[in-house]
Amino acid sequence: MRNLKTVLEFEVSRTLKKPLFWIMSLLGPIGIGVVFAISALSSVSGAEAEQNQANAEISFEYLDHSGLVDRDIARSMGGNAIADPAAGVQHVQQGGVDAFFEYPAKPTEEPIKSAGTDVGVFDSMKYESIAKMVLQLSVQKALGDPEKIQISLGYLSVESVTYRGSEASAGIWEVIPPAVFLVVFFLIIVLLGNKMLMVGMEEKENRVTEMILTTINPTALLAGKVISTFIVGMVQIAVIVVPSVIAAIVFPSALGLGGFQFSDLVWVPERIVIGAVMLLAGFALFAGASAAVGAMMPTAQDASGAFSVVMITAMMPLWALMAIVSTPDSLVSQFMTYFPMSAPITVILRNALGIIEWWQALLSIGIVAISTAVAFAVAVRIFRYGSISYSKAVSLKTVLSRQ
Amino acid sequence: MSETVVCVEDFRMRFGDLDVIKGLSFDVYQGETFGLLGSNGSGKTTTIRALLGIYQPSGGTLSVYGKPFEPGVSGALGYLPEERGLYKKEKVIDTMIYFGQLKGMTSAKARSWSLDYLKRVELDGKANTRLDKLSGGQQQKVQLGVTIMNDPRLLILDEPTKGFDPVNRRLLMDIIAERHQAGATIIMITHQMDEVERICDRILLLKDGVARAYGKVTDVQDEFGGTTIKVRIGSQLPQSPSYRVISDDGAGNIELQPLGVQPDEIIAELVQAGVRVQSFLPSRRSLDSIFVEVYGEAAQGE
Repeated sequence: MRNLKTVLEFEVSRTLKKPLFWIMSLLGPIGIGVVFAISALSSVSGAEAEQNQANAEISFEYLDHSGLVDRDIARSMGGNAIADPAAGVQHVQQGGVDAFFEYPAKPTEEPIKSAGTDVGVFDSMKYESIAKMVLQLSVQKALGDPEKIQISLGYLSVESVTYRGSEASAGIWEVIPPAVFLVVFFLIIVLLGNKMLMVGMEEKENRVTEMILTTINPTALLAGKVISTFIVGMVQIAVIVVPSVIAAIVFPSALGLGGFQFSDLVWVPERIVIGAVMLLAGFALFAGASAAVGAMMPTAQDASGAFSVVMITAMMPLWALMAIVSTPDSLVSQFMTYFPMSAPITVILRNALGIIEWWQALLSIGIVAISTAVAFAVAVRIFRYGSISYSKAVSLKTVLSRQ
Repeated sequence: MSETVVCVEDFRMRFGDLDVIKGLSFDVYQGETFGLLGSNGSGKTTTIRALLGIYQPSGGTLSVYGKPFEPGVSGALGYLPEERGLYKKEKVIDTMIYFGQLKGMTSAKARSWSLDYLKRVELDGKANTRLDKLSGGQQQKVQLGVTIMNDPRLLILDEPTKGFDPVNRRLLMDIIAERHQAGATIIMITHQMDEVERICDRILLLKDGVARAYGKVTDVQDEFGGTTIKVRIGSQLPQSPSYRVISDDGAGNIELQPLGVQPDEIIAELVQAGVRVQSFLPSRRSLDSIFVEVYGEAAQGE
């Protein structure tokens, strides 16, 4: 592997030196931050607006067929009961009252009818809020017991403990650490897919293949480029993940992680090892397959079709997610576990959820490792013979049949 | 005899059902400038690619300094391929340092050498410019620099002047002369017969995957007719059993090959026939006319 270090240094430094790399990488966390900020602000203002609408003071008339509306409550909120629905609507039209509500006999089956003075699309929503509020407060008053009211509204919490034998399991807290590998693998595919395609294509596109092949062995060149892509990818993922982790520690409630603490996480060593090994093996397989496709095709555009197949086969488990999670012994799940391209996501997922035996994970890792070696050997061969085919795609049969 | 740098024995190359090279053998010796000639598709580039391990030969052996070529092990090589380019999105200096390191130089030495070279070719202000921001001619200069980094003992140039402007062509020829003087072995694939006559010691003419001629330039010239006569005439040239026309540019410049007679007998015959002879120059037969004879008129324009 002579010159491997030179390739690594060149490939890593040329990427990290580019301002565009940092701009594009930082766009991720900045984008996530902006989305969270907008979401938090809008949820606060949305809740406030809803409350304001419910608290709005209006004059209204109502007709109650259900018998559930409490007259005192309705009156305290500005309402008067009437008997004629047509008169109610007419009063609204004439400006005598702001709104008229007609409560049906069975409010759970039929809608409450509301007629109000148009004060704009948004402000006019207050009529619905007040109509509902009057009925809800009336029913709560009829129930009397605040505890029953809370239960009926679903304000319940469950503290759950599950046991493996006599030991309490950590539940979600032991799922999160190995599940991080799934997120990382997914990010690798999304962020580095195109870069891995270029591993086998850049020299061809730049017409530099012949010069480079007289200075370095193709195996060392491809290995250097794949490893450097992984390093660059890890930097890029760190740029995205580190700010997110800091935000999760500093502003847990703003991110909807109220009550979360890192000390709650449980690190199961065998799950971490299996996740990490499968992540590396899966990355190498994906990189080898992508590099082979890149070396085979003359341009990135020509490679897009074949590259889509690589991407889809890698992402396949996401379409069978429920089957994998709920019935890990099903045929679909077993296929996804042992088919090389789909194995990384499937095994990392099953490993995180604790629904895979250790020997199954090892067998799958072995299959992926062997497939990686084959894919890489094919990629090197295609690169050697195919990357000087500058204007047309090379036939896999031709390349592999050469002595 | 000088050390054999390149040895090709019974080299055969087959693509699918097509035999591209059919048992080619030749040697290139230390310090010589060797011309590999042939029309397009005759197998020149294929031979070089197989020599450098880019293609796997279907048969025969190809060696550089006694062993199959191995990057970085077979001695410093400078290769300027026919299809050429560099990493377009990278800076000139970064690219040159990278190739220098791949060729065995330290980063510092590669940087220092590159800056000196860029100064020599008047690109000293472009070291930190991206390659795709350079003009085509400037990129060619960088390409040449990368080719000759680390003082290659063997320089292989595949159609080196292809696409080069006159300034860069002169630069290339200077570099070839320098490397030759420094003792480097040079293999040149070209269609420029005047360049071959001027700088090559020996040549190989390849046609349809077989050697049509191989040896010293003068030997090949002798093999294809030895002495020729370049005449400039002001009237029609009569047909004669004493000579045959090798080339005729239609403007009165004609190259004749004597057929069993001496040049002075031919001029006497022309004068006697009333031909107005403006100039008469016996010389060796040009490689250009040999090339046309071997490959046909169609190849002349290639």
